[in-house]
Amino acid sequence: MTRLEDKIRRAIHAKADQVSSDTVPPLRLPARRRRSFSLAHGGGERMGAPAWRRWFAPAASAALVLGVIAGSVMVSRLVLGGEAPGGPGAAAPASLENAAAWVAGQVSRSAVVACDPAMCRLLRAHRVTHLDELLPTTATPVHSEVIVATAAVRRQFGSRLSVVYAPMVIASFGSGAARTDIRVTATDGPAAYRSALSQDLAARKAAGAQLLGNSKILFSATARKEIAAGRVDSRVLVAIVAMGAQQPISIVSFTDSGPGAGAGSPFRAAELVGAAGTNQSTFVQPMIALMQAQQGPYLPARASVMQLHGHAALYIEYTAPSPLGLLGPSNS
Amino acid sequence: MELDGPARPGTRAGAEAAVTALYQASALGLIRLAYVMLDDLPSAEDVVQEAFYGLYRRWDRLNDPESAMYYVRTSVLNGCRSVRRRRAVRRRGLADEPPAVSAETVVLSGEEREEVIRAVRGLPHRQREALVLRYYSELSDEQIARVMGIGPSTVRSTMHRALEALGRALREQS
Repeated sequence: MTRLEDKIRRAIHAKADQVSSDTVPPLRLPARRRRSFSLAHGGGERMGAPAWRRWFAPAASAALVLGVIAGSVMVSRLVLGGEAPGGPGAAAPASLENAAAWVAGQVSRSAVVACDPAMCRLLRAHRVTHLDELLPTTATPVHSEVIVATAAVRRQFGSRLSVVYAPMVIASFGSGAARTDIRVTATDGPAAYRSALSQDLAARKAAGAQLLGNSKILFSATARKEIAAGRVDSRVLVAIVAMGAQQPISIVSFTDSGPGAGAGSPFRAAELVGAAGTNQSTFVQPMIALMQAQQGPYLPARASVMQLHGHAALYIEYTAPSPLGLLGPSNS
Repeated sequence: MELDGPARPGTRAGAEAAVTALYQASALGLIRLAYVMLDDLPSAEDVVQEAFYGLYRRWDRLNDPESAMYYVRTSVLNGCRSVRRRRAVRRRGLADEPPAVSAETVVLSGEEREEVIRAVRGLPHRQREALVLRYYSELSDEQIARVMGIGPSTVRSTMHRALEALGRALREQS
């Protein structure tokens, strides 16, 4: 080891040691009954029984066919000079696996996801079914709501991918050639998308300003900044209004804008508790019932109990991508 | 509805027990890693909490428990990157003050070490992450490659460039 390396190691360890070993906070996980309250995608199926029970029979019967298909795709890709995917038995690179898991867990089940053949295979393994497979002959990838932009997709569509077809990144995994971005498709073109995004941001800011003046709804300092900046999904804002009308609530934090998301990608999840003086143990269940009663886009993907500083708190989460225009044009 | 009971593998209770055990074993190291990246303890703790929460949600889909640690490390790095990006946006949009190193910290940890840390933070994110994974988490090229989703040869070239850049930066400072 060189002197420089030794210096770096000592400096990094000294910095890290500033975090005392007795300051590790307890792990906050949702309460165990959480899966019963998963409202979308089959009412908790995704957190439910072991996946192999549902998939073993079809997987076994399809294994032979998949093997043949995968083999032919490998051959065709090699012939076409495309990116060689992992075979059916090979582990996918971490960034691809993470991207597929994120799409399966966060993207709306009704959204069509565009992907290259290798990524589509991974997504099918994660039980994502509405897929638009991008073949080398596909001219434009705009027949979907979301595009998984792997290196192969970036190569295929070049700079038009980010400039024309899908300007917004809602999550990103890995780096360099292994980087995989999850992008929202601009189905009506980039100018219309930018305009809709700008109007939506203005409407979210206006709605946020109104919420900040509501005496029944309290916010942590960070949450206050985020809501004022219009960084909160319009569905979350509507849910907060609905809950605040029932009883005083306190917003602890907004989360889940996706790893590596662009600044325009709003937070789709919130952690909240009853305002001071509320019986926390009786706060959450009525709120979950209220969320379960929501319709259409306002029905959250998840509404569950979580533990926050030893108390029951409510966690709500909406699917990606965030819809635009739900709040209508802003008057500001 | 799932009833409370002893943890069994393959159940949510089993997942909770496994994720909690992994958290207890590795949280301190990961919070320290995130702290080196962010210089902000609350954000570092949040990033690690988020990573384990993500792991818990995806536990059923993990092929083998060994990959859990890789998943969490990758999530922590992605989380740190998001925090840094958000900070950069806020600094541009709201003219927030960048996180400053306190005088007390400088005295306690030594001026030279702070200089090194400042230089590490000035590196591009990939170089910074590779460096911290090597010299703090003591990972091999292959392990760093798996966490960062890049090839081992890219790790080696990234490390080489990072050390060169750091050497230059530290010479200039001295």
